[in-house]
Amino acid sequence: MSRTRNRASPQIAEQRLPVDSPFARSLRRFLRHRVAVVGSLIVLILVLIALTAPLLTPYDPVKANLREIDSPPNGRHIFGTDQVGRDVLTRVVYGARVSMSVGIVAVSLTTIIGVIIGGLGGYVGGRTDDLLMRFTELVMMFPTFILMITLATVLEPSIFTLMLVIGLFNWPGLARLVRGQVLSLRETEFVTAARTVGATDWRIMWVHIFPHVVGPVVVSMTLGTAGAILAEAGLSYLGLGVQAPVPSWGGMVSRAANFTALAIFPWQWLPPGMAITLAVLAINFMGDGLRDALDVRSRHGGI
Amino acid sequence: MTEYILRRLLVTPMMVLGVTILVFVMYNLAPGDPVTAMIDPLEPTSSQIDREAMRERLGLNKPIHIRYLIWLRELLRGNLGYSQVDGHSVAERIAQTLPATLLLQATSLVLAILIGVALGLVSGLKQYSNLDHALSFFAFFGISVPNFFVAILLMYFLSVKLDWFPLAGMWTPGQSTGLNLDLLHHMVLPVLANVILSLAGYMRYTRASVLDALGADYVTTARSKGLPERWVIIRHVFRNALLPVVTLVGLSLPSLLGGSFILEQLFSWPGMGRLGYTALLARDYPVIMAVTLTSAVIVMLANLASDIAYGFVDPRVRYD
Repeated sequence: MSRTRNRASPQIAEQRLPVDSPFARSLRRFLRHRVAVVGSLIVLILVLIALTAPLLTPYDPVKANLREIDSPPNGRHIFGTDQVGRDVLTRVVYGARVSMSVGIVAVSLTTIIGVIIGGLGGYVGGRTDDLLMRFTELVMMFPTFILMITLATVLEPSIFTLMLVIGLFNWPGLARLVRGQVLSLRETEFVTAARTVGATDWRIMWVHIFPHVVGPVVVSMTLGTAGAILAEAGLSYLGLGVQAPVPSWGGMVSRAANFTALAIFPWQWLPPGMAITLAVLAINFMGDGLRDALDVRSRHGGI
Repeated sequence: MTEYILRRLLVTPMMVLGVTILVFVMYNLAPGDPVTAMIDPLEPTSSQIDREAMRERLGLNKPIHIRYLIWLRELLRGNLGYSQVDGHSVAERIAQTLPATLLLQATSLVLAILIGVALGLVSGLKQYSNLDHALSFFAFFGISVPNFFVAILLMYFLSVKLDWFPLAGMWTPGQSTGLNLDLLHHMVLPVLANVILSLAGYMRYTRASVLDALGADYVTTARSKGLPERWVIIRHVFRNALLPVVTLVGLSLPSLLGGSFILEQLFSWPGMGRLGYTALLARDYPVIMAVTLTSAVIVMLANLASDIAYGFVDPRVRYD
């Protein structure tokens, strides 16, 4: 989105050029991407909400209150109460904890697997690369969500299962991205130069190749977090996530997805559903801004 | 070309084989012992010897790779096992529910591709216009909203509030079944949900593809030799931009099939997804495995078909 806006007047560009570090340039480009800035602010707020949940609400997210079942939004409960009289807003606030932590841990796992497989394939090449890429394609072709469902079913349902299952299957895109980068970097002159002066493979990977891969990895991690939160919501909706009564956004919608609640108690599913959408949308916007700012080109990376 | 297709044809069965291994291993990770599950715990006679005899009879004492081969042999014969809940043949259950799923997914896929590509073309040609921004926002919404939330919103507004479409099922109870208007009426909401969810990918890809083509040398050439703009767009931009779209046919299929677990259950659509969902609640492993396997095979066949089609459409494609 920001590309046209990059055409600042040549005078200004020339004046700034000498003092411009790559980081400053990226930051400036990111800040110009208004939607991404708004997205980042929302993400920041959501993380703060997740961290300070108990301070934000006087109600208990778990304890039932049978005198106030299914009560519509009112002065004391802005979003009303749920099937057993718990404050919906409180549960939405606490639900941010599950979504955020699963998103972050799962995406870290994904990144580790993706970078190792992609980096190895790209750097070593040959048969190893061939084998790794076939494997990547195999995982890529798989209906990932069904795979997650299957694994989550056979494992004990818990927040760690969620993190593991979601993190385990989303790496193929990143692996291919990293492999492509490493493959082309391996042939560059600075790598050849490093090799001729006797740098070890490890040093070449770490000092010469890795810095160039950081941009795409950061972008992919951001967009991956969005995907992971969405997957968490889906699995929690199916009852494969954190178990009741611990609040999760997907689980809250799931409990209200019966005809009565759907038609008569919309406050029970609307806030958690909107919370998921807002969180994922904000992170996706942030990722989009980062992609522009870090100048990562990708056509296959979804959006 | 022939070599490309041949190699692609050979790779697919190998991938299917890989999938069967993955599925089998996961099945064996499942906690609980099938023998324990089959013996009545209140029956005092079920001694250790009975168990051993049962393991022997069921072949469970064989090493895992032998069990896999036996399972694979049965799979090739079309035997997917029996439901642990109701004892029905799993293959039969899949055969009963698959048509409903395919009807829903194929319709959704075709509509998503048609609408997505059309909007992507418009978006690309009018880059940075208000329309482009609006469509971009919509695309972001489509990839950010959970499928169940879209479905529930549609149900709430278009069914409960406005009463335009039925809430659930394939046909009105008591009415005639078959490919009729009633079915079409029932399909609107689930198809709409699927289209909203998978439109974004096609739209954004087509947009990027159009932008690529607009910047290509052959377009500059076409313009500089004075071809009318409309001619340039249709003959040069669209034709080249639409080529890669062929490979996208399979793009949203994995998420569509994965999403069918949730959407079919919400819309009470009697398909394979709902079968999987029900099996999930009952931890009915043979059924879950069969649904996984069938979905994976569908995705792989669709990818194979689109890759081969692309090979035909674009002579530049080489297999490497």
